Amino acid sequence: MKRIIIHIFMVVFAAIFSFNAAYAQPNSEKSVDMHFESEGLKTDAGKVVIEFHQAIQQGQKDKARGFLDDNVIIYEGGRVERSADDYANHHMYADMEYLADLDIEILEHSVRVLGSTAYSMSRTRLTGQYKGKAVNSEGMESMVLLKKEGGWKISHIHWSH
Amino acid sequence: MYKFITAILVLIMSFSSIAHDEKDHSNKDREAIIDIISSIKYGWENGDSLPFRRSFLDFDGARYIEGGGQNRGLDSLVNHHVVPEKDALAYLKLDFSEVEIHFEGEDKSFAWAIADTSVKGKVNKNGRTFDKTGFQTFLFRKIDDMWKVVHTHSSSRNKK
Repeated sequence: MKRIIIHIFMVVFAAIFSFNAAYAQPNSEKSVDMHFESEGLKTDAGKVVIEFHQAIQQGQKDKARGFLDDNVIIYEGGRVERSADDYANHHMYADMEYLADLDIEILEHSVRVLGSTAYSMSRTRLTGQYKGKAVNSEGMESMVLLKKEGGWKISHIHWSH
Repeated sequence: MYKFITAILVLIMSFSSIAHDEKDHSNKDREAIIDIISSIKYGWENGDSLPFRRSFLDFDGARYIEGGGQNRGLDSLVNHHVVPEKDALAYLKLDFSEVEIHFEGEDKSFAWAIADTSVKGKVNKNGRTFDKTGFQTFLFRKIDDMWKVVHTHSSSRNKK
């Protein structure tokens, strides 16, 4: 009987120890790896955002699609796209067409990296002509990026103007 | 044999306990974020700066985007929008629905929440009413065991 009690004690102790190791430690670690403003743009996450912008502006559909998480959620112009394929097969073309002839000035852009998560905030001015109409507008963009096996992927985009 | 069965039972109970704790932890975080979103709704509707002061992380570079413009920092948001709108509007009704919350990072200390929005109001100056629908993005960081808003983005259009 004594041996059984000792055995149970050891198993419970091992279980508690493994719980602490697996769950308690990450909460106590506040490993914040944050990059501000221009520093954030130089990070891998920042480069993904910049290259995604370039791909959209240059009409490179496959390249742009490659930066998006398969399950990306995109808010744009009062509608929502709930996958990269949805966006790539529908409104990505329209966005590329719209931006192709416009001048795009980046007014503000910052990327902040927190471990395997990052977010990007940017403001741009669009000027030029689209389908014969003058364009002079300011656009806002928020993004969430997650570091996955294949690198950083964009998981959420909110565009507004 | 008896030892083996005991060990298996204890292990099952331990894993069950861990899974339960994790679920409780996750629910607690989810509830905390829902509470913050509810307090933001209250703050906008009542021109009350307190929910924003309490739940937003005030830091250099903070940006809160709404209606095609942005507020640089918490003071700008509160002093130029939240509080003045109390006097500028006869009423403001803001609703968040279809709220989705995603926890990210190894220690789940980052979260992003998205929601459909409905905003109705009446402007005191000219009696004009507005009725819009749109989308909302909230970004959160967990700091010292408290969730803080680090970025918001709302966009809306006139309801069709």
